[in-house]
Amino acid sequence: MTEFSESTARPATGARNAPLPGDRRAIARLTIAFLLVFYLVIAVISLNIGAAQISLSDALSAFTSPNDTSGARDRIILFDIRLPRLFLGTLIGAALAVSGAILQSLFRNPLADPGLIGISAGASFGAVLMIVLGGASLSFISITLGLFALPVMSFLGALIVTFLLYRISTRNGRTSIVTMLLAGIALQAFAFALTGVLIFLADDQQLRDLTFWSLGSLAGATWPKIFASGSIIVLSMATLPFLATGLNAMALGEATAFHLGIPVQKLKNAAITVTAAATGAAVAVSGGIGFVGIVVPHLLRLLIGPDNRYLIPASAILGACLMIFADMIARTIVAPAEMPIGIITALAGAPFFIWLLVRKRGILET
Amino acid sequence: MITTRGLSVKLGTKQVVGDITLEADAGALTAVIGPNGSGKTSLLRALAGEIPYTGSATINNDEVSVTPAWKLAMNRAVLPQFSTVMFPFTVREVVSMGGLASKKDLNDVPEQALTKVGLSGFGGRKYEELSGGEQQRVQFARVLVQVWKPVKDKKPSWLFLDEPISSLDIQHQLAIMNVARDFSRNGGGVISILHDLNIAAMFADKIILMLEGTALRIGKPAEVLKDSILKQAFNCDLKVGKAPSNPKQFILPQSVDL
Repeated sequence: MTEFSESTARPATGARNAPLPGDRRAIARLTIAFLLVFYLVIAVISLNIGAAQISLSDALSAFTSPNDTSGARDRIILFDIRLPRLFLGTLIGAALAVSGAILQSLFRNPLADPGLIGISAGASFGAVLMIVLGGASLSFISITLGLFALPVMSFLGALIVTFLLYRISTRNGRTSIVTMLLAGIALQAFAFALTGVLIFLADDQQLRDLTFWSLGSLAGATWPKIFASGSIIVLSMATLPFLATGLNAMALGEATAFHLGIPVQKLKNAAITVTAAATGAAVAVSGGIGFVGIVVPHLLRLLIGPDNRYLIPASAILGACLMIFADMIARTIVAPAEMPIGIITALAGAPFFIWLLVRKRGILET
Repeated sequence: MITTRGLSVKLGTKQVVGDITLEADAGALTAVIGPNGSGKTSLLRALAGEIPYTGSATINNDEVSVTPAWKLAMNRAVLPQFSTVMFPFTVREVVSMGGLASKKDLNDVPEQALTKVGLSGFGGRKYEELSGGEQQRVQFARVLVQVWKPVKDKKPSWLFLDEPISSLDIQHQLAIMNVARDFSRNGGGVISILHDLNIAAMFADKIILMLEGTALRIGKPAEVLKDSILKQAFNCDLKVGKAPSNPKQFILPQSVDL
């Protein structure tokens, strides 16, 4: 009897499970599952690649027999160098890609990327402010916030830029793509100028820190930094399931999103805060890494469509994969020296951006 | 029921709707007509809760300005005059967004809505690749999904339509207006801005004629659609007539006085 009732129930669910034309949710779930597997593969590879030759079996033995003295060096390399980098790459890649996806929905603009429209520059300013003045006039902040001082100041810098950008480029609920890009350029220039003033004030040691950091690198990966930035990134990501459907509705315009029952003002505030927090925390620890936020969501939209319920988690995973992959190149291409990862993402991302611009030229005229 | 008492709307410093008091009943199709810039769209946007107003406006006894977005969305759906969709959503994805407020499994409601607007089988197409008229019908289907049941929990649902047929050929104009009228015949309420006076005469149970932000006339089509009233509102000569075989009025332009 049980079998009978099951078999009668099946056709209904079976019919619902068969994807209807235009329903891409099944493809999206499959893509996310595939990306997870891909992530695991690339993560394992990244643990095996670096200036020191450590093979997979060495790595495994370093994990499994912690008291083996011959594995001590391998253990240090794995636990204190490669593993934190893997963690950091995952966090930064996810944060930047997701920030891009959210900004694009919020601004209704496929060309939005935290690195291109001044948000990362604002975050950089906040971080530089802390690096240069954290020991002097702003020491009360470093004392109160401790480890979190840098990411929190970055977050504030990013928040101010994002908020200004939104106010400048949106009128009557419509965001002008051209105004947003131009305002982004202006705000970026302004943030760079302010950062320049600080760099002028910096001493030699600070300058060295700043230069390395500003090019973008995962080399500074240490467990305490990962904890500070990572907790902000993870916290901001945790809110995203509540924003995804609202961001979908924003594709139809702010007015229609409101008609559909979305509390638009709250959604915008939340989206701006989350993006600023994720970008700020990422920039604080890794400097300016551009184009991840524009490349990743765009590629995924081609594959699974623009539904943010799937686009955002998929972006997080693919962003992590790309960042780890870029870091592997950064670590090995000029080994034993290291290339700043921001150079690699820009080398790959900038042509992509131009291609996108040419392909979507029409939207700039709207 | 929808009521307004002394409803006024300002856009910037300009008063675009001034002191309108009206009622619209569920179970009826109310047409809002009037020349360009007479405040039709602003009236509808105020009723939808989209822009601030002074005075009072209620939907099913809820004051619009203090009702949260999700609750408004359960009671009324709005078809704006112009709709754009950013990003390559499919037709099905756009139509399904009508179900955001209810958070229920839509099952085949999107497909049924597409069938109603004559776009059965269009679910898999990209929205941005459709013609203007097809896009307008997809948006209409989306709005239908939002208030799928004309009466829910004994309360009427409302359709607010801002020129729902402006991009459509005559066949689809009639088809869409028929869907809207069916919705009202089944107990729902429809308020639609219309530019085509003949369509208004054919489908409306009640007409609100607006001029310069106020309601010049509110009443049954036969009471509002009169030569002299239309001349005053539209500033041109229109002849209201009746065909022998059809009880509805028709409006024929005589000459345009520019």
